[in-house]
Amino acid sequence: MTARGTDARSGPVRARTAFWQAYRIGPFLIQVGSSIRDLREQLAWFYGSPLGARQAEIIQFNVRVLHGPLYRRPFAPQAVFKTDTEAPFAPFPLSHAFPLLEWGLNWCIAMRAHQFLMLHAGVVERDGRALILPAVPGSGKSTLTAALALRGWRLLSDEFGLVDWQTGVIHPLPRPIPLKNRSIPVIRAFSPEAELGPLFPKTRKGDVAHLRPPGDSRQRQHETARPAWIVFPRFRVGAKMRLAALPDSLAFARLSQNSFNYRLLGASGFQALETLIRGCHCWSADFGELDAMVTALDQLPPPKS
Amino acid sequence: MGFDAMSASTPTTDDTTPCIEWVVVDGSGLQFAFLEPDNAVFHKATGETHLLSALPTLILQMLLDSPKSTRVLASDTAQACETENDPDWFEKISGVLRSLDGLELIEGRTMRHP
Repeated sequence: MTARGTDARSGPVRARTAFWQAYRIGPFLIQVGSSIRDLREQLAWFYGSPLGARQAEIIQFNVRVLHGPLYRRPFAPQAVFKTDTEAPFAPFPLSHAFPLLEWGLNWCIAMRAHQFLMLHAGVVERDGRALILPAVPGSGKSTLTAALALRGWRLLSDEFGLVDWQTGVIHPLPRPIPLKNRSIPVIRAFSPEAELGPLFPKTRKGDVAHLRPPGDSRQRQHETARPAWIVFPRFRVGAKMRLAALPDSLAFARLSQNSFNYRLLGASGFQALETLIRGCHCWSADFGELDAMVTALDQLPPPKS
Repeated sequence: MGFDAMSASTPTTDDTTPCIEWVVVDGSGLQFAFLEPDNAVFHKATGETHLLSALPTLILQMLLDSPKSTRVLASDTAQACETENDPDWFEKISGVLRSLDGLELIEGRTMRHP
């Protein structure tokens, strides 16, 4: 953690930083400094207005996205992501500064937010109850989460299921959903209301465009939800929609493998996972067509309690 | 996480040799989640979580009550499972114990025959 106005603003970095802005995103206060002016507009579009100076007092994540080395600027300008203490990634092309920031924030959260059991999962909410979609990369999690957010579910998170391991509730973290490659036209076709940001071609994960979190998700970013359903989705081209109940012990094993910090939390993580599994209906889902999957998830059985 | 069969020394039960009594490693650090169809067990001593089917779970719980030899465990589990305590059953129990030993959930302790 870094208190606002301490080391991150001092020294030579300060002279290179065009702006500093703080944002409240779910349970976190994040401060972004950058020398890249385009990034300010992109942040405002995706996250809304930054906090005023008096609102942002304790910053959980203090990060910067800066221009890369001067000698590269004439022919291949770069952007560098930095935390207070390190630059965890190799530089990206300057035009990919926003995806770099988003992936950098993911890294920061995964490394440090151990007050939560962190699941690698999309999470949406309806009537106060959360549907958790844990999945490995490439299984269609983000596309499905985006589709549900565009079909009346409240987006809690695309990347992190933040489970309070003491109370069992899930904290929202409504951030842009990075849609990749074929998912971009799929979501455009799925909903004309989808608000997609600029296309970032040829990133390390292919072409990426971010879906702006719906306004309702941002406005209600402090409203937690109790988990009710866990569905492990898997997209396969041409697959028929299949939703199958998952035995609790298998769900337990798969969920523990989809957690960023289950092992780190030890007995607390074990208890949190047991509580989560016991409170939820657990399913595995294969799908090849988005509409059918969304319709099936709209018809899940009522919560256990 | 998992329940992997691993090799370990087999306790002998010959009356002329020392007998091995099985004990749980840090029994107070075991936490069970009784799920279906398997059970999850968290072991604080190793930080590992294991999925165990009914028989290894039963053996662990019996060993939590008190250390036991393979012979006694074979007898007690056969009674609990309402099956015959024959050589096949003894071998089955020995195999489960080897696996639990390999997972560092239990360990063998040498004891002298009375």
